[in-house]
Amino acid sequence: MVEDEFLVAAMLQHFLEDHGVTVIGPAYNIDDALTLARDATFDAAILDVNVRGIRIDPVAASLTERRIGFALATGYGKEVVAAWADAPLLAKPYCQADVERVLERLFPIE
Amino acid sequence: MVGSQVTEKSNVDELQSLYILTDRLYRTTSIDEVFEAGLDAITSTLGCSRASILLFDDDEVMRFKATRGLSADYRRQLEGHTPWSCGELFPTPIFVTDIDETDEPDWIKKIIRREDIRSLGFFPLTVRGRVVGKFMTYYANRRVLSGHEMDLAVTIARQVGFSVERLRAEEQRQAAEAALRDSAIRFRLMSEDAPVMIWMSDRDGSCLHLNRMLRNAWGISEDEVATFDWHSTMHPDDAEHITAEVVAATVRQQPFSVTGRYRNVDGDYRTLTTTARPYSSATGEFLGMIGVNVDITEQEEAAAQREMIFNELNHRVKNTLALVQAIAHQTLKGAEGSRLADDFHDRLASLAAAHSLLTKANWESAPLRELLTDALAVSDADGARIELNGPHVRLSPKQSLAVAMAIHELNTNAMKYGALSCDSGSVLVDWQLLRGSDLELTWAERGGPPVETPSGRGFGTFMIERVLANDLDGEVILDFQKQGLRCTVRAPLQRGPQ
Repeated sequence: MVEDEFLVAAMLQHFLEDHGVTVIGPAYNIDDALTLARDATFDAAILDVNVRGIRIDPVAASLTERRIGFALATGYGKEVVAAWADAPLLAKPYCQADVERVLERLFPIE
Repeated sequence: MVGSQVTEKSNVDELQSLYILTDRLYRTTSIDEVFEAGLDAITSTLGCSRASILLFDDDEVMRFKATRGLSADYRRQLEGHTPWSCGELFPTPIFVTDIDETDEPDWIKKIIRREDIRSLGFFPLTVRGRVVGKFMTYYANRRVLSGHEMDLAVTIARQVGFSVERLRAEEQRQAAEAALRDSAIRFRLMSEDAPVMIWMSDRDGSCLHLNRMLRNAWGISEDEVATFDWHSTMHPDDAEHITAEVVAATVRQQPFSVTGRYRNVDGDYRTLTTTARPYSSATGEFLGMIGVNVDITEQEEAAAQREMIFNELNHRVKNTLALVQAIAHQTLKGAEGSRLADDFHDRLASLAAAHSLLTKANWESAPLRELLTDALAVSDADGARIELNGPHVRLSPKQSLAVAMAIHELNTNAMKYGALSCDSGSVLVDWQLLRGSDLELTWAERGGPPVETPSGRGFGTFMIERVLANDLDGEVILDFQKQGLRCTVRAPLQRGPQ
């Protein structure tokens, strides 16, 4: 999980743990996020798009390379993250139901 | 026998005269030469030594153009005298055997007799059947015109009339060409120092003229214009669509407008919007295009900059809303709190959705239909139960936010207690423009459980009756009808930023 706003991160973590997800992170800056993206073991990621003024793109690229799915949490319109058109969008502000929908897309029931 | 020989000889002379007339008229380029040739033919074939040719001037006064053997006094005194008015159709020649036997006023008879004229002929010159002038023959003695002589006179009149018409048309053409040359010179003078790029091309699309600003942009001198290949300055990515546009317009000889990047003398690409139209010769022949290029590079950069700022603003607003949402989440922990947090979140989400729509339109206005669709998406994913019906209307930012939030409240209420709380109910949202500037919107529920007027006023009612009415600067009526809630909104439409 990458999210630079502490309170928002806490809420998202709460939502995820409610669904039995074990959270790795959260990373509050790009450097920590990159380290996690390269080295940590996890099934999927939820990435804030703008982390303390730096865009998340290198992290997304690293995950794409490792073939790990991710969702983008953002207040931008989807045209701003058009480079990652395949990633589900978690539009800020979001609630538990929105997080559920994103999880369903990241972990499709087979 | 003698008489017959005379006739034969005169026939030959007449033919000779007509032949010479035709030949001279064919060759001439001057109208005076037409008159001279006409008078020569008249005097040599109609047995008179005195003759004249007159034309109507622009004021429709018959004026002497060429004369033989008439005194200046006579010309002055009888100028303007004519048996036909200007433009009269199909005039017939008049031959006066003896002026004293006519009904002409005495003063005219006196002038004519003083000039030693007794008999005289009037032969109209016509163009497309209408009188433009006449020629006259004068005789000192009583005279009768033979039918043969009349035929000759009419033939000469036709020839002269036709030549006058031809030379006048030629004069007009030359005047039009001179005017075109003058206007071309004026165009050059005006365009040369104009603060936009102006050009003329020939029908093959090569440069004929580039004004100073355009020559400077491409760094070429006036001598290099004719051989300059402007195609080479197009940005490779834009060349195809620019060329297609220009070729299509040239083939159809129609105006065009196209935007693309061109390399200037410094090697920088500038975005130019070209607006051009075809121009023609005086005779209507397509000669090429004349156009203006406006450099919109800065304008485009400013627009991109503005879009970036709006995106950034949207991002920050949304982040702040996310933070508010997280605070509410922390504050309202627990079973009862979580239901409140959901309501709170839904309200926040409707506000956020309206923000997104406004950001798309640079915070100028948002389309009402999309505002409604976004606000109602939660309850009516398949669009079957809520019918939207109304014209295309855009609302100001303030109105947009108020409408989005009020509709969210109506929708939430309908899902909890109203038409959307059971399977049979539906909602019709109907709007129209009254007098072009007042919006009237109705939310009408039907098919739900019987409605009872609530005893108290919750946040939803407050939002609809007070906030919406205030932000719209209009009136909102909530009507708890038994068959379904009805909400009517009337407000003046505001356009643009508030």
